[in-house]
Amino acid sequence: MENNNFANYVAIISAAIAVLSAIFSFVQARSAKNSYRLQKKIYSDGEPKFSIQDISDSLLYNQKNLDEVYYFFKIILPNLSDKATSIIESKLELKHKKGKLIVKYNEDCEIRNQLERLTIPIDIPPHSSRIGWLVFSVSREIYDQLEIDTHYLFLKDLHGVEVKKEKIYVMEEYINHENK
Amino acid sequence: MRINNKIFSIKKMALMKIVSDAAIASSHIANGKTIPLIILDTVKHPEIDEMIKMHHGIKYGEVNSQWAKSIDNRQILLCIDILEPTTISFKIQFDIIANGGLIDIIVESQLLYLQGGKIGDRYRNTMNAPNILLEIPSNDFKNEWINIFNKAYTKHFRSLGMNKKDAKKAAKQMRIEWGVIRDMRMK
Repeated sequence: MENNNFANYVAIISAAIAVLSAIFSFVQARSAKNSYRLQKKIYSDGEPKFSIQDISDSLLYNQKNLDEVYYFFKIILPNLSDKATSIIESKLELKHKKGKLIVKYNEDCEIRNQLERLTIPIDIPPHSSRIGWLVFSVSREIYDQLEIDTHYLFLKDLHGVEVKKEKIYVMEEYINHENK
Repeated sequence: MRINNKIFSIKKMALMKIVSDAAIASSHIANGKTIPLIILDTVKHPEIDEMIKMHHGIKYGEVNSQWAKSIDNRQILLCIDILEPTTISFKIQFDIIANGGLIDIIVESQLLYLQGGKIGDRYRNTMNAPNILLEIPSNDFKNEWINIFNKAYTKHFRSLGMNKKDAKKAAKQMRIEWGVIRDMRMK
């Protein structure tokens, strides 16, 4: 009888220890999972991460006596990473009925100098942003032949990260086109 | 429905009916694209009239849009959520057969003029009324729209007595013919 009681006590205690072990393992697993999530977030914050948050304004400048037409885009560029970044390349893609045309970035444009320009390379410190205008130019001879559907702005940073943003409608400003 | 991580209900949006439509092409606007204009029946929705008046003349705002289709494949909805400078949401109902050409131009141009009005209004009689120009990004919807267009018109032509093969061919040909208006440019 006493042996039976002792065996029962041992069984109960063993079961209780097993349950406690299971609970402890569960708590440890949860803690490890939370720790993993935190590590993952810290790693992610350190990855290069910028975007074109918005194209807040745009303009197509078309002056009759000039050989080129000029696209102006005002962009907001946040850098969401813990690392600084630098935009080293920008291009404008004009999607037209027969395909695409890549338009080059223009850093020498004297038109509308009062607009605050962004100059490539664009340095953006961690967790901050830059706002300004980018200018692109295309020869009038080519532009007049295109039936443009939409515009894509591409930016690439020194880490190789490339982002793009579409602008469907660009307001057009015609200078000295009295007969149009 | 979630647009830009904002969840809102299509059911709660005011349903707007189209009074009439037009197509506008100008060499100074959007590279001469043909842009559709819709006059909405805003008699019971003066807030939409007010929104259009307030936006008229303002250079830029912010709008989200989403295309939707009814389960019976007869209606297309364009859900519009204007965020700046005023906030208002509504949906525009299109009949796929009656307004198929109009939807086609919106999808192709990705632009839409909106004007408020009442039954009987036409653009030629209301050219001085305020309107606003919206960007309606539709690249992701375009292929699906072409499928919807072809299926709906195939079914329509079959209901008129054509056999399946001819109806399918006629539907595709109709979209090609409609391209005369859709792809027109004023340059």
